[in-house]
Amino acid sequence: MQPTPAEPNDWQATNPETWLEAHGDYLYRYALSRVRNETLAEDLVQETLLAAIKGRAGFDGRASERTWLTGILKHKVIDQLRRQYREVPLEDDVGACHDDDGFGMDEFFAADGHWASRPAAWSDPAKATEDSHFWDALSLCVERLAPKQRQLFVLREVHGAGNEEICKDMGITPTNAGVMLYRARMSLRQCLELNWFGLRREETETRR
Amino acid sequence: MMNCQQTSRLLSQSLDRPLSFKERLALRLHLLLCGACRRFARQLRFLSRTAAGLETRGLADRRVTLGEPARERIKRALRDRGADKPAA
Repeated sequence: MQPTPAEPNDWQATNPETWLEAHGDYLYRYALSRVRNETLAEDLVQETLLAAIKGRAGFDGRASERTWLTGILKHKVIDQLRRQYREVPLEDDVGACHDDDGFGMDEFFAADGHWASRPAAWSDPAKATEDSHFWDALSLCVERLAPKQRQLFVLREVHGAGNEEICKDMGITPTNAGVMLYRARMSLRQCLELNWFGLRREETETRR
Repeated sequence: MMNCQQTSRLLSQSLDRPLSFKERLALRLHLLLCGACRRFARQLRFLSRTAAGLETRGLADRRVTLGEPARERIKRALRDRGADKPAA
């Protein structure tokens, strides 16, 4: 039933099922944090382990088993996000936006280009990151982004994918990507301000 | 001079691509004079740093585990399909 290891080295003798035991939960969390869908995340773990069996000869044992498996999963996740990206209907696409610069987010600014409401002072952001509720708030704010903005933002900022890479694989121009990332960042910043740093806003807000 | 709206766009773009000399100059000049945009710039960088932290946070949450049915399904797949392709 089980594949016979061709070479007697320890690593290749490892049964793939032990990968599942040792790293399955970790890989699942990794996948879920990106694709936001349990069934998809499970499928990605399975695909990863199957790909790992095929590719085990390429593993040189220098990285840890987990790092190696995560590397495979990472590629699968990116492929998946790209597919999802293409499937999202066009409504919230930048392409639908034909004003001269297309950046939008005008509601944040007065007609003369000044802030309509100045960014509030955030008290001790560094300390916020030590609070687990802060991370819940941040996740929630990311969830609330429009689908394409969210996917781009997650790829770019959570995942660290390069702009060129994103544009090439999603078939959008760097300008479009820039516009959507801008919108995502503006919305996120405001969301965090209202939902996390909001309490402090009243104390420090100075109206222009 | 560049206004706050234009500045906010350029600040966002600066996270994704290298700015031109002219853009950098305009940005620096505006930030020198505008506290609100300096604050916005700091918050944008903070956002970028913390977003990267979401990656590791999600991984540390031990409450999230692979369900038993999924585990079984994957095990079966590994036996079935894994066995088709033994390491040569």
